[in-house]
Amino acid sequence: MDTRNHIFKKLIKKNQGGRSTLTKIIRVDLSNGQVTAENSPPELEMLSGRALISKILIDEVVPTCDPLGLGNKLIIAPGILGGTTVSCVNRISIGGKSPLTGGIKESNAGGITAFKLARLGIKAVVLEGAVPDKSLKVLYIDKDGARLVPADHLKDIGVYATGEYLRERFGQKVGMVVIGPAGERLYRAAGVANADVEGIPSRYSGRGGLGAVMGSKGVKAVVIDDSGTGGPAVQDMEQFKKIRSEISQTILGNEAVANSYTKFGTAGLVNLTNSLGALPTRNFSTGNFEGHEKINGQSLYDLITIRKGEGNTSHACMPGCLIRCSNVFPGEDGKAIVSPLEYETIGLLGSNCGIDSLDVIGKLNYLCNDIGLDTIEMGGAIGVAMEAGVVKFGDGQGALRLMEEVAKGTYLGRVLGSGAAVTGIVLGVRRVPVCKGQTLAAYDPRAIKGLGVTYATSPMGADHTAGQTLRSPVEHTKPDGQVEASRNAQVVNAIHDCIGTCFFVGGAIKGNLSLLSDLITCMTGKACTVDDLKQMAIETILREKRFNEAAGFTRVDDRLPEFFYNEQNPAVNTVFDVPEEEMAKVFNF
Amino acid sequence: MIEVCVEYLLEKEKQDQMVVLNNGDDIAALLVKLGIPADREYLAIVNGTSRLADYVLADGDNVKLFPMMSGG
Repeated sequence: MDTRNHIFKKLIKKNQGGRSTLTKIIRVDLSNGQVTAENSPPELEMLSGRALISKILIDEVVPTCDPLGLGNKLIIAPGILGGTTVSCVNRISIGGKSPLTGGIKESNAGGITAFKLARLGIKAVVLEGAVPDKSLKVLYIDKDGARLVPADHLKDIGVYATGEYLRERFGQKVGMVVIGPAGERLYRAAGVANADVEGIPSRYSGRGGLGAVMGSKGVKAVVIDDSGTGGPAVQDMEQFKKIRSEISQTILGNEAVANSYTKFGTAGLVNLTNSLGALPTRNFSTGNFEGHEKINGQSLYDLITIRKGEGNTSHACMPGCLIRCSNVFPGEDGKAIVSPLEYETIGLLGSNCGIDSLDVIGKLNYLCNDIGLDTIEMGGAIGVAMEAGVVKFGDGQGALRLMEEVAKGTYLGRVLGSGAAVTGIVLGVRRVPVCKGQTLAAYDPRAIKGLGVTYATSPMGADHTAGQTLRSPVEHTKPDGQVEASRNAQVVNAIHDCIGTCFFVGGAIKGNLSLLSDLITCMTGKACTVDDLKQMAIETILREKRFNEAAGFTRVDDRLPEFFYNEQNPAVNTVFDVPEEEMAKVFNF
Repeated sequence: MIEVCVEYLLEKEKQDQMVVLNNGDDIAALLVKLGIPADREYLAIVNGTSRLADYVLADGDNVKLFPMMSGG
């Protein structure tokens, strides 16, 4: 099967001056190998990222469908500002119906996927159907078209080796979206890896088991070659450059960015959450971890600077990023263990498992990346397995052995790879930290209650990036004001997800979102205001909520696990006590 | 007069310090006393609990400060 689509070629040639506009939707029907390209209809013109994904899913996918069946679709969609070199605008959104939550899912990441797709003028790649013969394919996209390439020889090959092979075959500068053995085996914890600026597939759209959706279609990788393209069309380039410069100057002049995210990366949060009693520890049994100083931002920074070698304390995960919160973590020999090593991974695979060694956490992270798994989900699953006594809390070598089981695909490994909820059921553990079947991120909801509201109510399941309230003006252990804080945060976070900007840029530009809406105006030539962005975000959330309701979700699904309501977090001596009737109002916009 | 202990959770180049305040001073007053510009946002944790800028401090309080990126 090797289909090149000539309609696509014609569409590309339409673009003037070699510059592309974000208008093409590429559809690949894996059932018959057909690749088609279409110009997106006018009503989708201003939709991108998470907004576009939700629209395509609600219009085209039956909400009750089997997430791993023929009816589900996997959608890869850059943001509307993608392809430019403005800082923080090249997040890629990947979505579909989640096999982990059973609801709608969008999971976004940095890397170069969005940058390259946008330069090709591609608004979305939609993978439909499934290969009929259990074969494996690579979808190759360049300026001349898209085609499926047989890839059976990549079966069960790890993500890193797959990346090396694809760079060797298709060019060192290509972008790629890759799954590992976990996705091929339909593990519910399987993520999707995106190539970083060095071409290494290590930036994960990790959440919700979307790797299994890609695996169910029979697609091992999507390779994106943007050579020969001239970048995206900008209607008002002069003003665009002016705003780009203002954003750059604001970020570079923001002392808090330099002192926190650029220096320590997201790991800088460990001290904060531990002090708030919110650092998940030993399967969310408390929010203080006695070993936190060994795994905090300072320790990570010190280890990287002492070991040197391939280490790097500050690394840009996507083209043009000035925050540079990513890193390269080296071992004692100076060779990279993993890149990046981030807060959520440290919280879930570290403190949540009682593990206080960055070396062990780094190795667990590497294994997750290579097998193709979400580190948050695996931290949740291993924490539950530790509570069941499979290995002891704090046993780093034991956790590494569990990851080997996952890699080998033993029965225990397959249970763990199915995520924390399934692990809890199989091993008979009652305390399972999931909402809608998805593991909570690294903030205890009894200590940061606004996030508890987000975890419970977001259509995405428990997801910190769906509505991060850490910076909201509330006292985090009190129930007051948390619903409003979550509502506001869910809208702001959805704005970023819908336009492909990194959530951190909001803080870096001091909340001045009009810089982003003005950029969109310059780019598209269509007036866009902050209110327009808010409206788009609200419509997206409500669309997602409708999808979930049609898939069978009820108010029962908008609750935290029961133990958060009746077991105190001893670090803050409180349970989760935001009233359920208040939480039910979270989407009363 | 009251005295509070200030710890910096992230900026280790800043030494922990004892700060003398007036009775009734809140966290906002403490930040002014520390010379922190008004546009810098800090998350404050007093004796292990997150508190807002108008929280009135008491003698002997432990105040942990974490620099946040404002806005967003």
